[in-house]
Amino acid sequence: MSQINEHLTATANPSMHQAAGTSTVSSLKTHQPVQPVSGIVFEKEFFDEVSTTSNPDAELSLHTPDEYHAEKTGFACESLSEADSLSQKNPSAGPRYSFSTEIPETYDDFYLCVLPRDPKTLYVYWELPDGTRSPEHNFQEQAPSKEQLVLRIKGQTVENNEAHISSCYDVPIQMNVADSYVHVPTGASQCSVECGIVNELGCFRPYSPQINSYDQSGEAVHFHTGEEIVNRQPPDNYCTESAPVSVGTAFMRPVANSYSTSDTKNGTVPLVRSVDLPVVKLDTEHYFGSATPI
Amino acid sequence: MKNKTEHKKSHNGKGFLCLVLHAHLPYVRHPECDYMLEENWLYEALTETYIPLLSMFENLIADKVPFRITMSLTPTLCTMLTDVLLQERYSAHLKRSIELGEKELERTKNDPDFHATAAMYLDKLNICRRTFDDSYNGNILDGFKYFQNAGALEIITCGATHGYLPNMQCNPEAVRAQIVTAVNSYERFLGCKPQGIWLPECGFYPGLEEFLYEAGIRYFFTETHGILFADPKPQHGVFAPVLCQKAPVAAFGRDTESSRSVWSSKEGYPGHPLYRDFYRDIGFDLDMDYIAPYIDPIGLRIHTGFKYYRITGQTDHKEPYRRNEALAIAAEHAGNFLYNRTKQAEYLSSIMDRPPIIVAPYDAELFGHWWYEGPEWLNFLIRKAAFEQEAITLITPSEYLDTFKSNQVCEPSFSSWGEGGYSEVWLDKSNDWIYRHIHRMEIKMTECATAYFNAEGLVKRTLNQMARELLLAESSDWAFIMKNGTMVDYAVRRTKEHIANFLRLYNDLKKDCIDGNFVSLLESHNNIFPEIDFRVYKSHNDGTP
Repeated sequence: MSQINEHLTATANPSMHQAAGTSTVSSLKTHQPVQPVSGIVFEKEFFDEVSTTSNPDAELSLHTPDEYHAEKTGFACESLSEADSLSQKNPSAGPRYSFSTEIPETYDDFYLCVLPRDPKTLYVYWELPDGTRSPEHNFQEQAPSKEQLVLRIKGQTVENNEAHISSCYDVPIQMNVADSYVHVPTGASQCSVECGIVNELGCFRPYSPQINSYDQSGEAVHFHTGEEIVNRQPPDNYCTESAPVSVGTAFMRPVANSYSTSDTKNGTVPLVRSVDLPVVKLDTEHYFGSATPI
Repeated sequence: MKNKTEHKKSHNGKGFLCLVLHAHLPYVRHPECDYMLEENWLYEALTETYIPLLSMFENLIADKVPFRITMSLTPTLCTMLTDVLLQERYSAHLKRSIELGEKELERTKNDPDFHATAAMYLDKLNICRRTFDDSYNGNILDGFKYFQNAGALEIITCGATHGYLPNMQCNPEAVRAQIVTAVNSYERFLGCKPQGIWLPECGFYPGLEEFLYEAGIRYFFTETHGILFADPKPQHGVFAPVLCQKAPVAAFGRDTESSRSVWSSKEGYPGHPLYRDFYRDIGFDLDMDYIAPYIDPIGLRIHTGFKYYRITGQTDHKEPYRRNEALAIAAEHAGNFLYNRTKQAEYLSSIMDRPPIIVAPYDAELFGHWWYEGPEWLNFLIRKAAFEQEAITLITPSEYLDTFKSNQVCEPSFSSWGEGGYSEVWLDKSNDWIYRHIHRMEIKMTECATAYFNAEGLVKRTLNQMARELLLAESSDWAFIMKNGTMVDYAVRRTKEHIANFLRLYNDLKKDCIDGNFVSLLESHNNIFPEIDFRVYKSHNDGTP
């Protein structure tokens, strides 16, 4: 504790005090005891500044540093050497605190997003629930003759207000990959991307994961591992390219992962809910314009 | 200075020239450090671009030279220009630079090749100090505001944090928030609503105009092919604005010829051998003992702004810079630019039913920072346009729209002004990982804005800070830096910090255990948009108004 106090003194920094800079700060300075915090080093004036310089409506809820826990806050101040901080030649003695840069690699629910990169390329990324990633659902490890999780890219042309699939191809989804750049089918005036499963007969059915479902309090009430996905037989109309295609849909929102009260029957949240597959469509002709300018 | 009515009446030439300067820097402010290399971006731009531009405007007004320039000042830049901490740091930076300038004057006193240049730098730095400290008391935004009120400048806004909007289109609330927050910020800084917007990176996608219209924006700019590939094809190409199909917002297309003559590294003016070389700087050339107090305190050599050589040619051997010769070439280039625009307008007016408007947009920082003689070139151009010809008149987009109210309706196409013309720069192997997180933040933000719509107190502050962290993470600058490969660590760190900050606030909010200290720290550190209201993210698809 005493070492930290000494350190606090050593790292006192004039420009930070200037940064506070407003007369409103001074009236609060004497009210906060300077207390070192485990794992974090702050200056007294810094806390004063934090509590007063930002939001004018902010409540002055700052606690004493003793109430502050580095583990809880997720940020920590890097200690400065005394030599550095006292050095007149080196005013840059390093940061007094730094923020966490820890972010999750993925998010555990189903999500498919398509962004147009250029007229020929789309960027697709997806999220799959953890259940889908378990070995028994790792499509990639199954025999090629069985089922394969794929991205299906459909190019469509529109004639007489009717959409016709002009080309279609699948991009197999590798379980250790979560994004891909895919080509827009040549000559397509519209393009759609969907995620689905191709079985040994070549039939395609949309991937319809049993996602995490939440009640309004945010508690998880059910999680289905998704075994049904493999065993379920696809409906006839999802087989191959004859799937009905709606025209003119722009980008679709990702699948909702929460329930509203309207989703419940008799006040209870259903245990399992199938969600519609998001098909992301792009009207390429309208979006990118004609390739032959005037 | 003529007012707008006089300006319109006086036009009897062949066409209009719309000069657009896009001034932007990402939000870089580090109160936790005494020195942060990236804060130099602002200091360099102030010394070399913003203050010289203000000085030029002052001189034009003093000489009664009529001019119209459209200038976008992004909300991040406006915030930094008015930030007391950064103002004080810049003032200190300027003092150090002047001290170095005085040392340079002494060091070069017996060297005729360099002494005049050293004197020029010191003189310019002293003008900077007087302008910054004395004329504007540290807040040069007041200067730009003055010239807008004088009718010379039309200041427009940009995305709140320069977020690249085509990559947000899957979350319309995020697009709306970038625009609405920018408009509110503009109003706070400049006291009125913006007429137009510079779309970040000139990034447009069909449907974006609806958000612009909703925010009261009258016009925006697109890259050339955004207009040329419009549907239906525009009758006048890029030489007249079009009104978008889904909302009556005007789109002005960038003229290729005028852009190329300034932007192109091969054909453009800034590459002339007599202009000052950007890369040779005493920060890299002189002994460490001499230069150490003026570079990064850890000993990292950086640009100091003292550069004594001219471009010379594509060779490592550089000849000494001659200011007078460079200015003569700048005047010549300004004349050439104007002559070409005159010929362009004469031809176009012969085939159009109205005078053409030639839109010439540039990064403001090109003038002075990259192209050292850029402000002088602009100065010559404006004066020549005013006094040496009658074919071309400078105009702003809103003046044009007031004059020519009827415009063709068509839908511009997806486009940006980045390499490749679409999203190639901001959606690349080097930076695509960010969108998984940013989109997630956007969805969570909308979820919270809807669920906690009536929040007050600490919950409201938490939600507002979440909005700030999200907006800051969305800055196109981070993706751009990752793609370009310079200062990547900083861009990655900033992106991850904002994501992590946001997620922590979100999780605390959902668990009903908000840490007031953490919120306060973030409010102090990332203090942009004090007026922000998280409700801007509320879903518009939930049936409520």
